[in-house]
Order: sequence, then structure tokens, then C-alpha cells
Amino acid sequence: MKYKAGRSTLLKYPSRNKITTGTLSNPLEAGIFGPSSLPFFYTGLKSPPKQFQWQDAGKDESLQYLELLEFQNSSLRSVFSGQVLNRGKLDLEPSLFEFRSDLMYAWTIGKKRLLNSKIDNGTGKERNNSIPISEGSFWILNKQQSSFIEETINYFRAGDETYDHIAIALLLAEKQLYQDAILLCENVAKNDQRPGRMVITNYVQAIIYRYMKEHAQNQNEQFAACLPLDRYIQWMENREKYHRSLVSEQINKRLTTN
Amino acid sequence: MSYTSNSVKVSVISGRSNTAGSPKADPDLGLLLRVRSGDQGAKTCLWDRYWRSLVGYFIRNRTLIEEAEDLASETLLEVFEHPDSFRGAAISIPASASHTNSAEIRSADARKCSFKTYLYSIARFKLYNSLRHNKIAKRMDLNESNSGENGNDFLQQLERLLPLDTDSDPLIDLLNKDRIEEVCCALADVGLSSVEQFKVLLLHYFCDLSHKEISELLSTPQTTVNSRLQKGRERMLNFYHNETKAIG
Repeated sequence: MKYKAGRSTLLKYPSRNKITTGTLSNPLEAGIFGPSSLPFFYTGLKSPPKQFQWQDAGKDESLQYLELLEFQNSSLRSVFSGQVLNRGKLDLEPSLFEFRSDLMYAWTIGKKRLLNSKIDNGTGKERNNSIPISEGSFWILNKQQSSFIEETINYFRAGDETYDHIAIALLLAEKQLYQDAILLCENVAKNDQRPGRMVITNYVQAIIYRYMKEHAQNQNEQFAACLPLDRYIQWMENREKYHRSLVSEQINKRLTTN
Repeated sequence: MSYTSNSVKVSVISGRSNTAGSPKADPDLGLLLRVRSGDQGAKTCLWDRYWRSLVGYFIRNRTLIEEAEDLASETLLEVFEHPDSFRGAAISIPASASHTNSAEIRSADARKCSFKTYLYSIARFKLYNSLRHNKIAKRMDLNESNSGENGNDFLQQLERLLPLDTDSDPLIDLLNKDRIEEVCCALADVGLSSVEQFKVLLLHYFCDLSHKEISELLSTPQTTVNSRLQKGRERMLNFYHNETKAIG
């Protein structure tokens, strides 16, 4: 896998990190960097996450603060906060917290508590915007949406699995399941590297990032302010350009080498 | 279905048992080995696992239910009669299908091929044959029994009932001629201008969904699907022919 930089680093210190600076400004370089946390920084999920994963584990297993925030009616409230060992992952016991569908959640992990009582007053306005919520945000689809997706998948029972998976990824992205869509595409790209499949997979990846960007651009302003959403959008745009450039390159290569 | 990325195993969608193109994870290999050794129980397992979905596949591709059931049975019997033909990563064509164009089972020419992909490549071959024979039979029947005034009307009606004539669709022809790489480039090129056309083309030509299924799946009127398919197909063919000319 080509991911080289933890997304936390990417978002927190864009000006200090050469890699990150390139990632944000140059679409061609954007392709080799990507999110490394699960759940992704901006995605719908079919079911509540069972585990949080992050890449900035560092060398030691020091204690870090994990925060989980819920965004509802234009306000952000902390629903879980606790210290965890910095092992790069944390299993979520179902009893720990009950996620509600159709609400946005954000999560972050860091050496300090990023949030304090000020932002927990329901207004959301006193949030210190200089501190980004580093790991990202997600929302859980309701049962109706989830069952609709299951029905959608049932259409794909025949034919070439690679193409089925590519089509499923595209349809998942339309239903805002960006994480599933991207991981599915990456898996296809890893397992089937025939040129024709590669060009189609790259194209679908470009479309997934475009859907993601369009959805993020329509996000509630206050929520967008809580996250560094403008940086996410920049990154999504670069990823789309990167995959599009690969498609053009592959098509041109085909034309010239034949 | 599950897959791994960045050393993270994520469960995404239930209902499909295999990982994308990963023969190592093929859950049917064990059963197939038992079939090879003559185990009737393994045959029953494979039959139960695939017969119904094969019937669904044939029905979705414009086959009547009785015929779909026959074709599904024939497909599985083909596998049982020649269990050694499937070799996972490097398969060969079943003996009775050896007269087919290799492109017709293009999905099975993969370096990595699951049993399911192999099975459906046989199913696809049987489907094409069946459609072709049905069409010829119906035309012969029409010529004999509808030579009167209404013959042309009835023929036109039949043409409308069979809008996806696999014999005359130039894209299917290209796919059958094993031009898959060029067709993929053409599809991506269409996608760079129109996502909607890309989507219906992918679902129809690469995932074997009918117009009706695409319409249901995308919640789009069938006329719109037809129109997108037609325009997209023209653009793909233009791209293909321009590419061919450019290559000289």
C-alpha cells in the first residue's frame, strides 16, 4: 500500500511537513498519501464501528486521550472521553456507547484533551477552531438505507467479480459509504492488475472522491467549522485529479504502445 | 464479503463469500476437490449453493424460467462431468465448451480465477448459445407462420422484445473478440465525460445486468437507461475505432 503519511500529521501540521505540503498543493503527489485511520475521516458506515484505528502510534505506548463527539442540532457534545494506550487501535465494546443513526460523529486522539467544557455548552460557537478534530468523522446509516444497500448488492451475483466489485464500490459511494467504496477499490486494484481493470478502477476511485467532495461541500457550516473540512475537501479534490490523471495516462499509454 | 487493506481486515457486505479475485480464499475449492474424488455430497453442496443464483442469472438475462432452470442444471452438470478442468489460478476450458470463442469465457482467462467466476463463464457461454438458438428458431417460426400482412408488425414486436441482440451488438462482438483491454479504455474515456453513461455501460456490459435491472438499481426510468446505453455505446465505439485508426 502506498500510504506514507498518517492523516493526523497531514492535517495538523501542513506547513511544517514537506510531504504534507506537497500533498495539499500537488494533485500528482496526492495519490501516494491517504487516510490511515479507521473509520475514515469522512464517511458513512453501515453499522457502528467496532474499532478505532490510527497511525500516529509513535514509538512508545503512552497514554493518549480519545474523544468521541456527537453533532446534533447545530451543536457538538462530547459523548465519550478517556485515556487509552497509544497502540494504534482500540476495540469498541458495544456497551461503551450506543451510536445513533443519521447523526454525525467526530473522533480524535491526541496527547492533550482537545476539547474542554467551553465547547460542551450546546452552542458550538465557542469551539476553538485552531484545534482540528484530527481523526475524522462518520455517520451510521439507518436500517432502511442499510437494507437498501443489501438489496443493491444482491443484484451482483454473476459475472466477473472484479467488475462486480468495481460497480458495487461506485454504488456504495453514491450511498455515502466512502470508506467501504475506497477499500473495495483498493482491494480490487491489489488483486487484479490487468491494464483494462486498472484503468476502470482508477476511474471509479476518481468518482468516489468526487462524490465525497460534493457531499462534504454541502455539509452543515457549523459542523464544517468543527472539522478542518476545507483541508479535507482540498485533499479529496487532489485525489480525484490524481486518479483522473492516471486514467488519462493509461489511455494514452495504450494508444502509444499498441 | 471481506477484504483487507493496510493490514486492516474490514467486513463490508455480507452475502458474498469470496474476496475479489483471490483464489486462496475460494471457499469452493474444497468442495471441488471432493467432487473430483467422486463425493456425491460435495456435488449436492455445490448444487445447493449455486443452482438458484444461476437460475436468477439466466432469468435476468431474458430467459424463461423453465429454460433458466435447465440451463442452470446444464451448467452445474458441465462442472461435475469435467471437474478437472478448473485449476484455480490457471484454468482450462471445459472439454464440451472447447469449441467456443475464448473471449466468450473471457472472465475465466484470469490469472487468478475463483470457482465462481469459472462457473459463471460457463453459464455465460450457455446463455449466449441459448439466446442465439432461440432467436434463430423464432425467426424461422415467424417466417413460416407470419408471412401474411401482419408478419412485419410481429417481427418488429419481437425485435422490441429482444432489444439486446447479442448477435448484432458491436460491443458484445468486441468483447467476444477478446478486445477487453481496448473496451475498458473506451469505457474509461466515456466516463471522463459522463459518469451516468459510464455507470450504465459498466453495469450492462461488464456486470451482465439487464436494462430493467439497471433501471431498478439506479431508480432511473428505463427509457433513460436505454438512451444512456445507446449514447455511451456509440461513444465507446467511436473511441475504439479512432484508436484502431491511430494505431493504423
